Amino acid sequence: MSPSGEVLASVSSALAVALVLLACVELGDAAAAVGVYRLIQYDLAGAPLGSRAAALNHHAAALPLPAGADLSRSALVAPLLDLPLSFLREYLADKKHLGGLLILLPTNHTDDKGQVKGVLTELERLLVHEQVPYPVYFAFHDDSFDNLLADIRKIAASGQPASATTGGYKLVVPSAEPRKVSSPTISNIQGWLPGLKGEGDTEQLPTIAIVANYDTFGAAPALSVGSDSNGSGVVALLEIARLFSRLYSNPKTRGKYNILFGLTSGGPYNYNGTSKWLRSFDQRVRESIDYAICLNSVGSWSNDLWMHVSKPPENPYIKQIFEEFSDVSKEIGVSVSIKHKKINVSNPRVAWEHEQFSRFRVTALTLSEMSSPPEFLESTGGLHDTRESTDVESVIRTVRLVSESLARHIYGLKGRNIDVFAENSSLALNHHYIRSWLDLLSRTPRVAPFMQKNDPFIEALRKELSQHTADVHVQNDALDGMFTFYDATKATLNVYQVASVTFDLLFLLVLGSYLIVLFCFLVITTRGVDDLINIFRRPPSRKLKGA
Amino acid sequence: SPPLRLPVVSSRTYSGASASPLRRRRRGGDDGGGGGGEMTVFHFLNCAFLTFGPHVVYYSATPLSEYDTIGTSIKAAAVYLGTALVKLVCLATLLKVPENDSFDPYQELMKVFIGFIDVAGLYFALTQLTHRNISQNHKFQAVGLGWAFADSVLHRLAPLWIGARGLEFTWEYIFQGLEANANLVMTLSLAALGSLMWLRKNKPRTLVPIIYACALLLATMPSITSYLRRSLEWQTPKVVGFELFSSLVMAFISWQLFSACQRPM
Repeated sequence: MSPSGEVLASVSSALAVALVLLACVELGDAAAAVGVYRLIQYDLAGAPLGSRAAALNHHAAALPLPAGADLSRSALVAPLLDLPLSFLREYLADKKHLGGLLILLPTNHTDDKGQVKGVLTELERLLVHEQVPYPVYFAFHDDSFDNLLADIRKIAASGQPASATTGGYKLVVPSAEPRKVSSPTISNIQGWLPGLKGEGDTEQLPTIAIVANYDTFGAAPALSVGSDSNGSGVVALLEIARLFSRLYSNPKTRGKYNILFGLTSGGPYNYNGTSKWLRSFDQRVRESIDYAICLNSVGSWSNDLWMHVSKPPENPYIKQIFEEFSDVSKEIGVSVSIKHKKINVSNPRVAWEHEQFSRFRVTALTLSEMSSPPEFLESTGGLHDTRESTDVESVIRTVRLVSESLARHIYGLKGRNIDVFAENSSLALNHHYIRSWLDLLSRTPRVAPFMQKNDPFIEALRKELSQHTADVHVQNDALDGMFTFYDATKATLNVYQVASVTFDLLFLLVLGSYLIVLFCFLVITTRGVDDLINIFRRPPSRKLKGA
Repeated sequence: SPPLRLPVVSSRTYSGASASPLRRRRRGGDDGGGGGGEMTVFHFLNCAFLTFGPHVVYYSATPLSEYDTIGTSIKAAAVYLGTALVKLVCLATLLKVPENDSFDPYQELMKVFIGFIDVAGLYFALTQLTHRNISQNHKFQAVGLGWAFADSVLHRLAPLWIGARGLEFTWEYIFQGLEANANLVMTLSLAALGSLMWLRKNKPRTLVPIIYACALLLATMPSITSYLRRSLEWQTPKVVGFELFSSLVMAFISWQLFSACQRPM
């Protein structure tokens, strides 16, 4: 019968068109939501640096780019190792606009040649010191991103660049305008282990200070866990505090020195926090400090440790301290070398923490695995500085070195063959303690302006220090006005698969023809073919009237 | 391990690619500008035309519009809403929340019986509502049309409004529109058979069991499709295809039966 045959014909033709449409718009995965971390945005003495935008709403593009691609309206998704830094440098130098940049960080932990570390360091150096007018995000690379990149490349290979008319993927980060972090604070935590005052002693006991800065700075502040710089220093300090608190708990073994432990903040910003902390001391207390040991990056060395000083090595105090360290280091089987760097008072750059002490005329030194002073905002806990780059053994070695030397100095054990913190004694180093604190620090991003005064981590450090020491005090101060930071460090990226406008138009065409066919079919079956023709024919009398 | 892990949930895909571990988002994100916003309203309009267009076309193409049967359709729609409410209450009272996803025959049987409330509603609409003087032919069409339109509006408008305007493209709403089309055809067939069963007094003896059998089949069609979807785990395109095909077959059979009963004996 013709009407039903017509129905079948129209339905089959509609199905055929649908199949064609299916072939045009290849659907892969549905939309996804991924956690992403933004490049830092900050002002240094008024100069804007870092990524200046947070909201992202563009089509995704991938390398290799098709010819004539307009990147100012697309977001480039690139795995870290596929992104040529020269390309990025050229883009930044020419001030060419990009819709957005999403860098995928590798998650497999095999980095034999240190290639990933090298690339990350260079990339950070490039991005942190430049003004980038578009949003830059970091995400972790996994299989889903592989599929996404493959799909994008397939669409690009078909010859059309990604835009509103050809479909593809859209990356959307819904984010408000980033706001300034109002009055960023730095919190310095200190604890005392008071020494034993004899009956006849009227003067103040001399003090030895052990200091480490606990905050970090990196390209992605939400990922700046700073395992080695300076998580290792913090863990070493905590273990030393634990050991000496055991010694000092018994009056018979309490030394004639006070020990001051300081966890300072504001390290990456020319050790701003250390300076403010020292200024907050009473002058007599400051003058009673015999010397200070600053710990900076002691988590990945095996044989060589450096002792950095600002006073010349011929200075008798420095000489004595160095000899103590050398003696112990020989026994452990490592070597400590001394390095002298003069302070230039007019230069605001403070590369080592001990330089702040020296400016207050306190003898100080820094123990570090780094042989040369780090540049401004480098080696402060960047993207490559994760738990894998640190090992517990190095921290243990450092703790042993410092605590043995300190014990020999305090108790006057020079020359005697005594191992104060021997294995299997009650004063043995606790490997589990070191490991668990190192793990915790490697999970906690610690960029100072984003840590409030009552941040749970600062509270945790204060609590831990108060377990081992007395007189624990947190000093809050404002960060140096030269720096301004902006929030929006973490966001959720939505990946949408969008159909092109052509698809919608095609669909509308199909739909329109289906409805028209349906209409005609119904008219024919229920009213007859004549009625159908009558609908479309204009009555001839009207034409004559109009003329 | 990285500080944030992606949640692992499998999602449906239509092109046969392997299930992705990314979480599926249904809502559209805030659109800051560009081609996204307008495009998705376009898609919503397309799907809306697909879902509700045929009803309008049916009304305007057939003589229903000439005889101004819109009142009947509106009344039928109201009866449908009432029936839906009754069904909802019965489902809530009688069905238990399933602990696991397995096929429970008693629950399914209960759902089939509750599905018959639909048939009761249609009976009410066809027989009890006082219609103006319209022929049986037009009455069942008007009732069926109003019924199917109300069904589409109730079940498909809200998801369409919320989902199809989002940025993410899915075939889901297009399939939903095709389902609405199939549902219209099936409702018209059921209304035709219903009018045969309850309004026409003299029917050829041999055809009576066939009429009742077809009506039973149509009434249980929702249960059949849900069985196919859940137990046999057919994918949506297959299910929609089956619905379209079966609706056309049933429409053809009902039409034959109806015209057979029209012939004077």
